Amino acid sequence: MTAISDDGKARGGTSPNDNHAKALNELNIYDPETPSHVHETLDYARRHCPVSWSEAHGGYWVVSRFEDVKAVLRDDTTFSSSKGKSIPPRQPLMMPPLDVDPPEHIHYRRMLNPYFSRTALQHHEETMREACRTNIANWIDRGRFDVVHEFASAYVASVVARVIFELDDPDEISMVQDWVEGIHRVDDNTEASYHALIDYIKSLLGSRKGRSKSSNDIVAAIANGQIAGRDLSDTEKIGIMMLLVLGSLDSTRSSISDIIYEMVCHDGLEARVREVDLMRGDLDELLRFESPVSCVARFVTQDTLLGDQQLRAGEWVLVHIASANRDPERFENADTLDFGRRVNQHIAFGLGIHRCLGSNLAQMLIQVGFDELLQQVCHIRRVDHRPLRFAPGVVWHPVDFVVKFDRMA
Amino acid sequence: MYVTVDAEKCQGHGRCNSLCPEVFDSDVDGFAVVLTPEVPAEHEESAVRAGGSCPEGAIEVIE
Repeated sequence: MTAISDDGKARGGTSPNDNHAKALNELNIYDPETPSHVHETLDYARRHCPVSWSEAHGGYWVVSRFEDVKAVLRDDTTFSSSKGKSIPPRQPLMMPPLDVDPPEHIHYRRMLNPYFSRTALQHHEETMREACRTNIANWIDRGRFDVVHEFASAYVASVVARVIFELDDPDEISMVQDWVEGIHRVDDNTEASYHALIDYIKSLLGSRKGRSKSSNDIVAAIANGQIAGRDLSDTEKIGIMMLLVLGSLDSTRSSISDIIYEMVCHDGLEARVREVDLMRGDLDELLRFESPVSCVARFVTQDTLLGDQQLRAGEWVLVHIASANRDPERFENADTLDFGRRVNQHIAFGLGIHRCLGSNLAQMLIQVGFDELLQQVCHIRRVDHRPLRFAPGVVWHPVDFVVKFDRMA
Repeated sequence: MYVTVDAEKCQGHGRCNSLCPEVFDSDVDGFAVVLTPEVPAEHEESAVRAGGSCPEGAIEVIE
């Protein structure tokens, strides 16, 4: 099996071009209706107006083609990250190094990169496996689970507590896991979880101050961190910690959930994921096909041409990574999940200086997660056949996605 | 077949190391290191795959 056609997506029907043009002109990634048509809308954009204007959020440029997305992400002088990464700007806290331009940017990355290299993360593999097995034990006797909340979110949050916070006390892990999940659930408790986690991070940074650096202790590295010859400020330390927490959970839980979604849509995919080494190509194709971080914003610092459009200083652009990864100019049969691709230059982790810091952590989480899951369960299938909704935003994920399964013999 | 990595372009994605660990390693910061500039015949296919899959276009494969 090398090619699987995309027959399972319930993301809208066919519409006349004027409807697509209207949808593009109003494209708002936070609109609950957007996930149902966004692939079609951006397909229309790539073919007819690859750099186009949306009136949403006070107006911004929609960038849809691979080459244009690449050009923006490569040119960190013209396209700045210093005003945040979302349109409209919505984050209460700056999060270096993601919100920092050169020349300062590299100093933060130099400090953090060693903790997120594959070599460094390999020390945590058994911890991740244990976190995943503990999670699976919570629901395996029920014969069904909610993919996003009971598996993906809980597993990833638990690994964040154990690996990034370096906790080993089960009660403390559970407490941090609850806050991390709480921030991402977006309900009445979101704000309380956010503030509780910030307070906890402050006390953790305080307690790790002065602790000598070890190859595993990311919090100690940040607590005692220096960049360009000066100590990090408390605000910077908290911002970095929050970036690690928020960046890990949202994207990775989405990716794990999307892969399970593809499994229930495509016969044979579960068996394939069980059998192959995901890291040798299949995971790249899964990430290309369903790119978890669908888009990223940049602020235009100087007048410039992008494609055939004149952009002005002070405007915003939103580059659609998920669209670039389905650009037929770059990927043959772009809307088909095809594990037979000879090369796969997908940019699911971005590119350029802001390339996802946690890409190795994410890939390990996915690999370990499916390794553990598929050792214990098989024949994963939906409990009903209602069309699945996807939550809108920068990172999409399925909503109320419950599956049942059989136990492995 | 020979491979080279342009250190100026490499951003440490690590994809070459995943796709062809016999030829590409990652250093302690995650950036690409070529283990064997002259690619053993049995790894040529995966080296080409790794080279063509680099998001930064940092790898040159000379056949």
